[in-house]
Amino acid sequence: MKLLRKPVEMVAWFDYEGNTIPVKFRLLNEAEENTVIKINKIVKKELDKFAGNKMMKYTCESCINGEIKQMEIRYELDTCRWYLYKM
Amino acid sequence: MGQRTIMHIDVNSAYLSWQAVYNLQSGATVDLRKIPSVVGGSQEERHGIVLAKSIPAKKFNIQTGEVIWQAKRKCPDLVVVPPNYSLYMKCSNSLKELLTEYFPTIQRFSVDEFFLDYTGMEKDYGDPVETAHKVKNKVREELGFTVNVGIGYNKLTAKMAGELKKPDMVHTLWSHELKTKMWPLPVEELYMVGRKTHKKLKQLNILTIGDLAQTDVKLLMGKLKSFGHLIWCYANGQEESPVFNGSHVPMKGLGNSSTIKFDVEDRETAHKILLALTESVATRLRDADFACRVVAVSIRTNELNTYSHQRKLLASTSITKEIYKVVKELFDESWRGEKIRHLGVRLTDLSEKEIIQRTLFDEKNQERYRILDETIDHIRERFGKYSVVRGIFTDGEVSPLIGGVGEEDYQMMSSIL
Repeated sequence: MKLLRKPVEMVAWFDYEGNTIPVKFRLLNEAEENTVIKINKIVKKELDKFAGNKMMKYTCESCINGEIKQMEIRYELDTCRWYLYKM
Repeated sequence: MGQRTIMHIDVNSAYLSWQAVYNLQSGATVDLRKIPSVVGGSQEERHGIVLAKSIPAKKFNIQTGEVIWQAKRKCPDLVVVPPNYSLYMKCSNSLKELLTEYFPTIQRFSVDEFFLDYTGMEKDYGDPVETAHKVKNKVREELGFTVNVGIGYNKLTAKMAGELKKPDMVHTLWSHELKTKMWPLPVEELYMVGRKTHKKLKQLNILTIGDLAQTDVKLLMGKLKSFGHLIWCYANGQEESPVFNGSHVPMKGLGNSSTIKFDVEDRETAHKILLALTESVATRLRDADFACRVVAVSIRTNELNTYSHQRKLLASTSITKEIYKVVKELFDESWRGEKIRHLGVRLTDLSEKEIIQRTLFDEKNQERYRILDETIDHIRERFGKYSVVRGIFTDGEVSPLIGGVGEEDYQMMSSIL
């Protein structure tokens, strides 16, 4: 996986317990077009507290161009922003 | 009571490693801790001193407190990053949160230092050294920065132990280790011994902490008064203060000061800056529910000479206008007409605000000024600190409130253990 740290627009689902589950997101690709990526599976969820900045880390799998790829998505709790961190 | 077990947690080059971890998290590729780098104020605003340095920067003999251009001359490739106090506060809070999971009694001594009382916990939680290692590793894994843990039988020895060797280490300093571990250190390493005391001690041929411990305390008291006794006790590892829960430090005085972007040459501008400082410091005074009896003004000239002047008031006050009046008088009395680089206002001899002795010479509208101040404080609290400012500041030359680091609950280092 390569470090990207791209801000993305996210559709997520918040359950009764306060868990946040990312569903799908879109980002601008090289040609400045919106690409939508659907998250097929969440492999791991972890809270990262480095430097006191809380970030929820999700390791997920998605199908991109017919190929299953692993990626890391992060949700920054202080700013409520989503990032495609690694792919 | 048996011997206590106190731990001292100290973040290694705090400002710098926090910034480094934050940068790495936001996608930076270089680790500031691995290259020569410093955290420093901006040079244009003349706050250009080194606040923290990385370990590679230390190899270039860069000192904390040094001017940035000097540091750059020692190492031309030096990376300078601006300070970010809200980040430091966040890091400090998350460290505190982590520590509360383990310890009941925690004292935040400064933004990057904590004291913990481990007395009586050995039975249930095991050897202090083991626990210290566990905590240290957990901080590194969870928060991403390294800390030093010092273990001693009081706060002083714990703090001294933490300074022994850095980074990411655990050290002990028990009473039987005092002579081998602490005494050979140079005397300026001892807590509370700064530049000036160091010079005085040098004249007495006291070079190591051991020398100081073995000196006759009467000689020290003759030279340094009660302070001599204090550092003699410290050199012998004697210190008995408890670990306060929270960050309670009895306040003795408060002040704000600032280095000004330009050299001040006329009285009016100086007064304006003093007013801005007085506004900050008086707001803090009222916020802490205190009134002050002594007002002091300090002036540093462009040739770096510093002098100050203070006065005891007839009665305690917390009113901005009254304090400012005295500040102006003090300034006019002491200023010798040089160019001014740095100004400071300090209030001491504090008392509870409720009990204020009235005098025959009180300002006529004292009560009304008190209400005015209260209202202004209230508006600033609700709508931000620049929501109401004095008309004199509207030209924008001087900021209406000067002093502090701009972070509300920022805990400064204290000289009281």
